[in-house]
Amino acid sequence: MSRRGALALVGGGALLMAVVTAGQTLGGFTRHAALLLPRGRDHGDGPNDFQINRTAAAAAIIPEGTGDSWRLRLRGGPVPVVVDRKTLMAMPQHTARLPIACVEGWSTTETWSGVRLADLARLAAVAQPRSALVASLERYGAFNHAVLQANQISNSDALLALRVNGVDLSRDHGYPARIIVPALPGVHNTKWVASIDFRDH
Amino acid sequence: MRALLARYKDLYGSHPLHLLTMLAGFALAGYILTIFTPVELWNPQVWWQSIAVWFAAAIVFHDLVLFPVYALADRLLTIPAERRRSCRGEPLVPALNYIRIPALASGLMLLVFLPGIIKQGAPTYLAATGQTQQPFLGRWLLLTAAMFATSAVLYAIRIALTHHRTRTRHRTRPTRPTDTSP
Repeated sequence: MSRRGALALVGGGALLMAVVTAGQTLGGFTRHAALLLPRGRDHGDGPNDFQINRTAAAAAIIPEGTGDSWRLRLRGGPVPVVVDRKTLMAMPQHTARLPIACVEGWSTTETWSGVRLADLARLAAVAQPRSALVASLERYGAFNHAVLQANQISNSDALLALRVNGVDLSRDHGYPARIIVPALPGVHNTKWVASIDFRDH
Repeated sequence: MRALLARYKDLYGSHPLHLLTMLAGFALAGYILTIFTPVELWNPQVWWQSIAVWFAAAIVFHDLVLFPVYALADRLLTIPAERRRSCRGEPLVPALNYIRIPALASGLMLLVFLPGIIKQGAPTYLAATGQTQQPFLGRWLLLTAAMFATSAVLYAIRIALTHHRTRTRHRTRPTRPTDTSP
């Protein structure tokens, strides 16, 4: 084999690898080119049929915890504020098109809507939160909580999302409510949110 | 400028691009040395999950198993072509690379995506995606079939073109020049 042939072979191999992997993060029609990878697959045609990074079953989220009895606890103000999903839905809703960008190396961009985190901080009576600890209903697991910084709370697209692509979130995507913040690693967009602690330090 | 380049080539012995490539290579190697300490090659909890063990095992497996297998397969591919050539004495379009390339591409896919194809870590996969690894074996086989089929079509086109070319060459070959002199 000639040197040119060897180079072409290695180059061709690298190109083939690029074709069958890049779709995981480019999305759109290229996603299907990631034939042999988990994030190249379809989940269906519905509004909630996009890539999941951890199922509700795997996170041991029980249906009783996410039903009508679910409450969001906002702490950090003079008194804790407890709201149900109906109250959240009645608040001003904001829509943002944002990606879940997973540290595994894939991403998917969807249209989320819900309540701005800044509005929730105001509701909790914390004027200028320096950070916020978001905790999930998920009891175990390294990513059942995340800390957001001041700029991540105040960003106008930083949401506690209640709906995606025009419908309620599915259980696997974090129903009743999940965090979605621009430029945040996927695992820090906490799902099944139970409480948010706004801190002014 | 050209004289300067010539002087430089006399001194260094090669094109400036050669030096730039070498420097980039050394810088990359240096960077790897700074982040790659021997400690990271060894997993004290589970010894067989160490990079060092896998690296050594990969060398042994390649040289002892993979290399003889693909060298033998390649040898088997080249024998019939040689035999045919010696029997019929006419130049053939060699099929060798039309088999080698899809085989290598299929092998690369199998090597890289083997865990999914043979369904390793099914519980983790289910927890992370809500799906099973069921389609991957079939997809890999289909991909392999498609690559070989494409290669076969390209080979057929190549043969047809070669035939066409040799035939037209035969037809346009001038007949024996006639002697026109008195």
